[in-house]
Amino acid sequence: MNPLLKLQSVSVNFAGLKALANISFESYEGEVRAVIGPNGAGKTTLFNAISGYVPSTDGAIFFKGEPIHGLAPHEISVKGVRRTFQTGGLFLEMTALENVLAGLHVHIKNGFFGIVLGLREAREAEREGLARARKLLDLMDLGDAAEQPVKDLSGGQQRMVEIVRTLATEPPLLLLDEPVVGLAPPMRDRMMEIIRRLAGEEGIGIMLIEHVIDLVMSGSDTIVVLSSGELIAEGTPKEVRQNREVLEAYLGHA
Amino acid sequence: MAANNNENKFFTSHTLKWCYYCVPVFALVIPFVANEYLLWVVNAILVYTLVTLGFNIVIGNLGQLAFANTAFFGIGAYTSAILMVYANVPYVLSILVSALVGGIAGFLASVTALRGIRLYYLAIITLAFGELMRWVYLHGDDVTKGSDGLRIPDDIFFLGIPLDSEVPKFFVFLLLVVVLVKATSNLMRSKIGRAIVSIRENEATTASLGINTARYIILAFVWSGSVVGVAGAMFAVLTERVLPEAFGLTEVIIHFGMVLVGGTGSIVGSVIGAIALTTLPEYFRQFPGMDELFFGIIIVCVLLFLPKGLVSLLWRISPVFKERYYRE
Repeated sequence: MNPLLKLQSVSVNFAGLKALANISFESYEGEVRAVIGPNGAGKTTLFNAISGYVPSTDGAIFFKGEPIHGLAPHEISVKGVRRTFQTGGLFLEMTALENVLAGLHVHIKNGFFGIVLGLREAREAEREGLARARKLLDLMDLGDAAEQPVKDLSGGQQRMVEIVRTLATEPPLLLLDEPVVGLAPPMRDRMMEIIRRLAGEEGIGIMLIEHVIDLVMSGSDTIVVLSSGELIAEGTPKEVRQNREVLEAYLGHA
Repeated sequence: MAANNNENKFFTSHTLKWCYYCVPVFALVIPFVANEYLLWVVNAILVYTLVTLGFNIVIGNLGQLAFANTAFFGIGAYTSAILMVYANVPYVLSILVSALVGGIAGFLASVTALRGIRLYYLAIITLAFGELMRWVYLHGDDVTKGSDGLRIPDDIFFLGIPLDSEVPKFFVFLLLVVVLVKATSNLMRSKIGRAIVSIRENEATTASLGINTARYIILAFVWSGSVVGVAGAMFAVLTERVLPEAFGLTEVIIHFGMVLVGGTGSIVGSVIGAIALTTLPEYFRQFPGMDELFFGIIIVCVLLFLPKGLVSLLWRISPVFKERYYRE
């Protein structure tokens, strides 16, 4: 199977400081890959480098065999690498529905003139998007919250809206930065269930940063362990659990 | 249909749509009941509706502190006047060129924002742009007639209708306002409007959804410049003489005041703001020396008690008044 994403000795330097050093790995369709590591290990920097928010100093990143390093965030996003953010990625003043509609942006096929003149095809495209956004929200039990500004929703609902919005883009590869942070345990399990289902049923490749080790161990297929910007281990949850270096660098102190 | 959480089921977004359509129809009565002076005020309201509508897109929807609005306004006014005075261009055509040139000015203003100049830096650079344009009007004597102002010809026609009094001007202005308000509303309630607002909310996330943020920043500025450019062309005909002083810093404050008093990011708010801050100062003119004071007091009071603008009073009546970025 061809890798969905391939990193070839990717390095990121911030003014001489090595944030990521020589990271190489491959991820596949339908795989849930967790990225773990102590604070400051470079987990979010890794996501930023893949999604184009931080330029990589060295190395190469391929998505479906195409180089994507050096592209702008929206260009990488258009190719199918979508991400969520650790904090505040939502459009708070917009409703849940509008947030999800923004996620559907690239799927709503209409142009400037059709929209300005209110032409039928343009409105039809909008209406289809609207129906799809409503369906997605209903699927996650967010139907009742659809018309409310996101800032009025609970933390858990907000998290769900953000995931639904990213899902709406139907990405081949989804990067989730701490998807369950701030969620109550039952909601956490539910979210992980959804993530697993997306990978299993839709074949979406998922990479997630997570601190809750239990969830990572039970929910992911592969784990990548970072420490001080270096990849110190990669393998199944079982393999990682038995890795000496990991125990010392990370789990040992947990 | 999805659940509608409006308590009042008789007053839905559908009924509201028809209420909005009725507004310009009822407005048609105005010329038959208002005298020439009142009609002049109404025409000024129509001009300022477009001024605020355009400005609000950049300030309210895109959320950028760009104050090049008076520049767009002046450029529109001078473009139309110069074309009519020197080239005998029909008014309709001059309006279209004003929209085009205003759009180009909007594009230039967007370049600064795209280069990462934001917040107060963008504010000062766009204010400087406005002042620079005023300098051009003042010193372009040969064409603009400097501080004397450029007088537009007496015989202006709009598609054969002579604009020799306030009544025909009213009908022409109303037509332009209705067309541009509707077009802007179409834009804002589509993926374009959502992209513009989502940039205001979080630019990085917007890009992460595959949205080309630069394109929509440019689009917002260009549309804003075009709409305000048209307002400028109307202003030239309204005042019959285009003066540099009409596009100074005081004018920036008036435009900004209209946006804030009406309600940022709201089309209905733009209309309300234009009505409020055109009529009230006109009313306070009977207290010479105090009128600026009243103007300031109105802005302060509205912002203090209704920080979301006068339009938020409507939201208290029914939530359907809240503008949404999609069409049912």
